[in-house]
Amino acid sequence: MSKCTSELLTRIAREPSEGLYLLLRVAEAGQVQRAAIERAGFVVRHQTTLVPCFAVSGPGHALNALLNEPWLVRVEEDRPVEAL
Amino acid sequence: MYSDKFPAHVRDVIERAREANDEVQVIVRFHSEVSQRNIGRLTTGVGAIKVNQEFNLIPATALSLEVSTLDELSVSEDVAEIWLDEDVHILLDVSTPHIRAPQVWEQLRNDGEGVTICIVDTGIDATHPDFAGRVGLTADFSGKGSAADGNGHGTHVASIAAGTGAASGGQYIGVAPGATIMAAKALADNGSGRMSNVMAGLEWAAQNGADVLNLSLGSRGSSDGSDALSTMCNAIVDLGKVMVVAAGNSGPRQRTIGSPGAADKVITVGASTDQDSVARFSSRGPTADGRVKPDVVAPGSRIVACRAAGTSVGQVVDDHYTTASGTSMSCPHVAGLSALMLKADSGLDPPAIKKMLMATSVSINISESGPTPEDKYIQGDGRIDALTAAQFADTGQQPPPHKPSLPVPAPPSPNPAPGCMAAALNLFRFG
Repeated sequence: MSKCTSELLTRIAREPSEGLYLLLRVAEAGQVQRAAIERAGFVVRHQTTLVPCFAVSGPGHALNALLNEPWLVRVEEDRPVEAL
Repeated sequence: MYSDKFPAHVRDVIERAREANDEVQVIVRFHSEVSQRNIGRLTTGVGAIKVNQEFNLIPATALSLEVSTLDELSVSEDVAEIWLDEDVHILLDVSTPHIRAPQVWEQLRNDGEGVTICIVDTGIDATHPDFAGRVGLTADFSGKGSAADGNGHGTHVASIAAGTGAASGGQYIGVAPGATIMAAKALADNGSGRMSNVMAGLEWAAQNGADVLNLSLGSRGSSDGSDALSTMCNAIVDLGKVMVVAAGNSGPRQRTIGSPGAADKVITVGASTDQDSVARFSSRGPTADGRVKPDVVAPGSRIVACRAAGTSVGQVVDDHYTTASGTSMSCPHVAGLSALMLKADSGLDPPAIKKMLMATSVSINISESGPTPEDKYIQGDGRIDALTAAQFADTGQQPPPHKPSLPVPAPPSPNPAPGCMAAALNLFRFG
């Protein structure tokens, strides 16, 4: 199964510099992973451990440097939520 | 002098209207239908009388009129009684009795004391009298710098779960008024945020003493419950915490349960009215992958509850209270009830609480031709019943199995493909 939807990959290919808010679900949320994420060009906004995950913002093309990392499990958009 | 035809509080309102030279809205009950029909003959005709509504079952008429004209009417022997035609709201003092929460407080001596409910929302006005001495930890995950509620939504929600009603003389009491409240501010003062803000708030709450977590928020678009926020909610249930989530306000179309309402292990709550029907706006199942949601429904239409200082969310009632509708308001009814159940038996795990809540709910969405499988996608197992649920928790008895009248339906087809929904980015907001 792909780590990322084709829609998101297409969007990044079309607008590589577009700023995105992403959730990077990882096998382990440790210093090694965080350093790699920041090196790729993302800013880490939040980090959770119950569900190992980094919430990041930055240009979409930064994801290209991470997609082949074995610890990266799944990428999804950090979508807006609203009071109901 | 006023006659016995006026209750005392009506006289006060009439005198204020007289001083302000305002019209008054009243309902006049006559001794007979003949008197009702001849209302025009009962006054001199100087002041106008506007008939707003005539009633048939009782000889009564709703009127707008000047106070001087009302004076004339009131001395007529044909007039039996005069009531104020007051604004009607579904107040907490209606919705909590509707789900039989007061019986839990009184008969079972259980107000949720010792149980902690965390509201992950826009923050809380901890200075509101209804929360005095009962707000525990608070934290900000929105970037504001404090959990102060500059929106009002979170405060309203918190008071439905656990407000004491102190500012209303005990009238507007939440479902578990003895519970401790935690607040994680995950939404900005404009009422929005990102999934990650909510995930951070949830993780903090679960690791800092919350027993029940309330999420009156969500994303738009049908969800299969596999996204990160839904996964976090399921993980928190696995930690032994009760997660209660609003279904959403995108009804009446099917497949309108978003994230995290679609999370498998949470209790997903739709909205009912005080007439015990499902609110039209309440989101419907099934989930994007065909599972039944919501799980239950609870009152969520025009609920009066706490107003945060300096905010005007909903329809403001007074300095301390405001009216709002949505599954946001339904959700804390269930969070409060979960606290009552945990108080009754602290050993209950989240699946047991969910099962009891569902099994003891009251089916309300029965069409004239009888129950249909699709009812499940509208009301889940039905509208919650606090007394029965708390009694099961109290006695340790197992709840009955699934109601035979509500079979689990086969999901309609076709199913959208599960996975990320990068296209569902439109902001939405409901009253």
